[in-house]
Amino acid sequence: MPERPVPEQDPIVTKSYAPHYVIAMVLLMATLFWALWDEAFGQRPWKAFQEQWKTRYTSLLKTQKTKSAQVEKEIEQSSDYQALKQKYEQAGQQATARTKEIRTQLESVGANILAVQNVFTDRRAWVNARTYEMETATSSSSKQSIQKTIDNYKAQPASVVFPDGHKEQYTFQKLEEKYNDLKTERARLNAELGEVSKPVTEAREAMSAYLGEHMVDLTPDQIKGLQDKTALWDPKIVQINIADANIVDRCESCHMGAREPIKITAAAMTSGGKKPDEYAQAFVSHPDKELLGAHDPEKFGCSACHQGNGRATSSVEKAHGDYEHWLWPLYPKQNAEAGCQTCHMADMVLASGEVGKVISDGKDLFRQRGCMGCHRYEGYDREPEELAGIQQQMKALETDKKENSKQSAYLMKQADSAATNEEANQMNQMAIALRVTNTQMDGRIHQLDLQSRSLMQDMKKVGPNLKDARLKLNKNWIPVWLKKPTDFRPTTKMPNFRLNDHQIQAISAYIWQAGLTDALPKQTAGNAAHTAR
Amino acid sequence: MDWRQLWDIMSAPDNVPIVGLIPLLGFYIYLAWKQAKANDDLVVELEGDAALAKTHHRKSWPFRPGWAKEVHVWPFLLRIEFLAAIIVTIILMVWSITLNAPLEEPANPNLTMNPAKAPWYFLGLQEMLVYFDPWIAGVVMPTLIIVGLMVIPYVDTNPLGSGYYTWKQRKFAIGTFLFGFIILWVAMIIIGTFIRGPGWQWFWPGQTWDHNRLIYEVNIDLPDIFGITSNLAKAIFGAIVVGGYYLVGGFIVHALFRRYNPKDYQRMSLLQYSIVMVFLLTMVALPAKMMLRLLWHIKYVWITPWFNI
Amino acid sequence: MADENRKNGDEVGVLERVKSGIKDDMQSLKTDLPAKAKEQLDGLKDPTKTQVYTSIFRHKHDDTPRNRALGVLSNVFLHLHPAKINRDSVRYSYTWGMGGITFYLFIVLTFTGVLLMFYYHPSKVQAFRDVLYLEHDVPFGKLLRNMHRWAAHLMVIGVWLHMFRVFLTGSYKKPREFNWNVGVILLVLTLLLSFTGYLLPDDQLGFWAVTVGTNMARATPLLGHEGPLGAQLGMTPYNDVRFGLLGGSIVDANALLRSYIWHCIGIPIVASIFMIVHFWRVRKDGGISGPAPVMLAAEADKPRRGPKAAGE
Repeated sequence: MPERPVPEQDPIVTKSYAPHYVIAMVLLMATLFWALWDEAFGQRPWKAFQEQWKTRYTSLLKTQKTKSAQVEKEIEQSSDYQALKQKYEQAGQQATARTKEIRTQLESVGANILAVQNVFTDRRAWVNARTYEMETATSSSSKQSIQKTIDNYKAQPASVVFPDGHKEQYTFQKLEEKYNDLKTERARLNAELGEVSKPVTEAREAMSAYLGEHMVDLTPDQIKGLQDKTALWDPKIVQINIADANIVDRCESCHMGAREPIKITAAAMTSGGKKPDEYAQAFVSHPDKELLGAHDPEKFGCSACHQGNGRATSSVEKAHGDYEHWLWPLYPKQNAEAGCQTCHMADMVLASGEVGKVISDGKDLFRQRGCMGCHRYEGYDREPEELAGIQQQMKALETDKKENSKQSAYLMKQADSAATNEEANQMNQMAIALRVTNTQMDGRIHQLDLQSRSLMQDMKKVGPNLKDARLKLNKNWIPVWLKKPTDFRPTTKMPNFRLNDHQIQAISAYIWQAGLTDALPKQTAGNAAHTAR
Repeated sequence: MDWRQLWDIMSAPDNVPIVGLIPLLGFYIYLAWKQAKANDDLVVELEGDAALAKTHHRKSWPFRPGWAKEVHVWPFLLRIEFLAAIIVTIILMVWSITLNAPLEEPANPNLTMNPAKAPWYFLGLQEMLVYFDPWIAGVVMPTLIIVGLMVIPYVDTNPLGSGYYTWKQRKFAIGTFLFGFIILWVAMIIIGTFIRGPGWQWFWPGQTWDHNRLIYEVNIDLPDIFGITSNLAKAIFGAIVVGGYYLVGGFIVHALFRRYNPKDYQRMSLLQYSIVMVFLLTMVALPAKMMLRLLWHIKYVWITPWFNI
Repeated sequence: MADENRKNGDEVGVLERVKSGIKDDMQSLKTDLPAKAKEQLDGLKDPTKTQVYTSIFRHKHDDTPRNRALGVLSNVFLHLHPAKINRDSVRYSYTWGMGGITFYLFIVLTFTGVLLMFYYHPSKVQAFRDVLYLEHDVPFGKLLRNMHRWAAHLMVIGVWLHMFRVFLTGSYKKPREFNWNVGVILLVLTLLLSFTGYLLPDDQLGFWAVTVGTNMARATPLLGHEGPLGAQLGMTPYNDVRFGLLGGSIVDANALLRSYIWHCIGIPIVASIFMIVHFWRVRKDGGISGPAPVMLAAEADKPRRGPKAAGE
């Protein structure tokens, strides 16, 4: 018997799952809302960044604006500016009266033009349609009849009601003339207006040019523009997309201040004298605007120099590539110049303003200490390119040689079957000339071959095989060489190890003792069928 | 005890399913065992009381005359299925929001990961590669597993236990399956996930996965222990060993099976019996070979010019 | 009468007829429209009697045994189930629901998988980038990808638990042997689905996992170039069974494309066919196997007349 008492009611059909369902549905709804929240905000921390940016930048701009207004005022106090201002006001005074006149005239002309235009364009359209019919009519009689209708229509007068109330009747031709006259009149008035107000606009431009030249920072108007832009900003991803280079950089979605025209510091973005938080640190301007100017982010992106994961927007670690499986994490601040190597590895000195000291020092050190002697490095290692070039040349020469021999054989054949002796001699000479060219080319190929052999040696080995020292060297030569390699051969890649005499003796002895005494190993013959590369 | 290493392994996103599989298996085995025990107790009771055996409804769940023997699928089954779907969805969504699917560096044929592991459900097979050559571990064994599974219904002649949990009535079948599934398959996956580290070396839980660790382990082949050198002798020796394993092992299994499962023994045809024998012995050969390797560093038992076992 | 009208002038007679006709029409509008409107509103009081409703729902839904049965039998999605079921089969502890959960996960995987396919190109150049794109750009992309991956793992676990449960309850015994084998095939297909999907992100994890997995194929006896007797049969890395799997001798662009096709089309179609057979056979073999009444050892060898119903 089962231990528990048997319930009277059938549990299968009477058990209620209502509580289970309530809990399950609550959990399910909660999970769904969590997923929605996560999608909208949790995965999009840049929204919070941009909200912070709006508030902080607006307040910064406010303080900037007052400062800027002050500076502007000071400049405006200066005598030069006052002089310009006077000129502007004078010009303005002189021009006002006539400008006003012209403007009223322009108004009335404009209204007249409208009135005429309504009627004219309508009638012109009718005429154009009929004209088209006439041009496309097949029989000359219909052409004539349509032409007649057109002429009749044109002769009919149409009435135009002018804005001041009076009516006039015009035939089509007159209407057209009136229309064109009015338009010419308007153009003339506009030109005159330009002339009259030219001194005014010039004076005003001189004023703002003066301001622009004498103001280091932005003017209050420019700052107002920035304020408006910030106020109207809707949170959205800011992206630089360079499809050919597979660069998609969304850095500016959080680093909103990187390319702003005013200089932003972390302190400026923090309120209340606290330590700058991660928002303030993110909003700082990009240092060295000149550098940025030379490397327009719209063309280079950000990750080309700074690395990181440009596409990521879901967290700071992801965006900076600071997670386990991203192979190109953001360069730390002190190593930011490492990014220059991506393109400028061949430059010996790389500096732009404040940027570039570290990397230039590094390049210098690398060269001076001769690291490239043991560590193959691009820029110091031209052998592969040279070798490829030489092999190409050799190939070209071989092809030419083949062509020449073919041609020469052909010529000789022709010569054999030539009609006259002179012809035969001619052709033979040509054939021989080709042969001579071939021998010359052979000589050249031989030279190139020698070159390529030494290049290959250089490529493959950093230094010669020391096991062969006994077979190739004089015993007494080794310590001389070790003392200072550049004494004998200034272009050698072997560095000066600054060994003392005891060390030199020890090393020389070791090399000599450890060297092979058998004959040099026989190289396997090369295979002529294997063309170079 | 490197807790951080342990945490790293357990929290790797693709290892979380295995970490979850273990308690899940524990729970379901417990659930099955509970019902098996109830049924076995009922069987004992019914075998002792013939009259009761005639009238009892024969299930360990309550039943009263008057209760419906069959219930409508709608709503009684469907409401439970729907609830199950909702709960699975909740688990899936919470898991998806909190844990990210892994994405490692872009594929690079020139840079091998160390260790390079197969997906977790194949780790059992990859672990077998330590003890057997690829053609056995990767082809023959998986095929035998699949064929073995397929053959089960046709060699199981025990009519008891069809449709209810039991242990006493199906000890051989359930024991063999538990051995093969839990102890071999799941345990091998656990080894492959948590124990095997860089270089496929053995790291106990809590040992740091040091890529530079060096171990000294010399494997020896069984023929070499006996001083056999010629190829022909090795081949013959191996055949004797493997054949002997099957013969001796078969005899032992036969003796035990005949004594402890007499009814099944009678019911089975020769074909069924042989199939059970072959699969059972081959399955047991795996832990046997594992022991040989792990404890005595014996690598090959049978060496021929064409294959090694 | 018509003749007389015509003699007087047709227009007069017609006019009168038209006028009276218009009057009748106006009158009919006044009487018929309100009546029709009332009829219409009455009809809407009980929506379940409208033609639209009865064309979609073929049976009533008040809670009667007949409607309960019809709810299952007349629904294309639910008629996989019988109308009635053994009372104890409803208990979760018996079946663990793993078969149904596995199928549900398969549907979730298909759904999320199709959505993922919109953003994925199976080419070496783009595959990795597309997964990055899904993680960061695509709305709900991260959720989709994660759901797909974790549902896949859960499905493998579900399939194993289902097999385990079916074994423990002996539900592979006669007459369900064939269905058990269909299940084993489905198990293999599930693992293969998971395996082919593993390569698709084209990252180090997937690449090397598939390399390890397919390298085992080159050791196939007779058909692999490193398997026993394979070399003797002329197998080379360029024509053995591994080459056939990968479409090449290394895991490269061809392997990615083949993986993609197997994963999204090939294996799902085959698996669907087997699932159809599997579900069909469950019903035809007598439904859920239990819980069945316990059998005593003494009764074991008596002939039985087919699967027993509950409670006997």
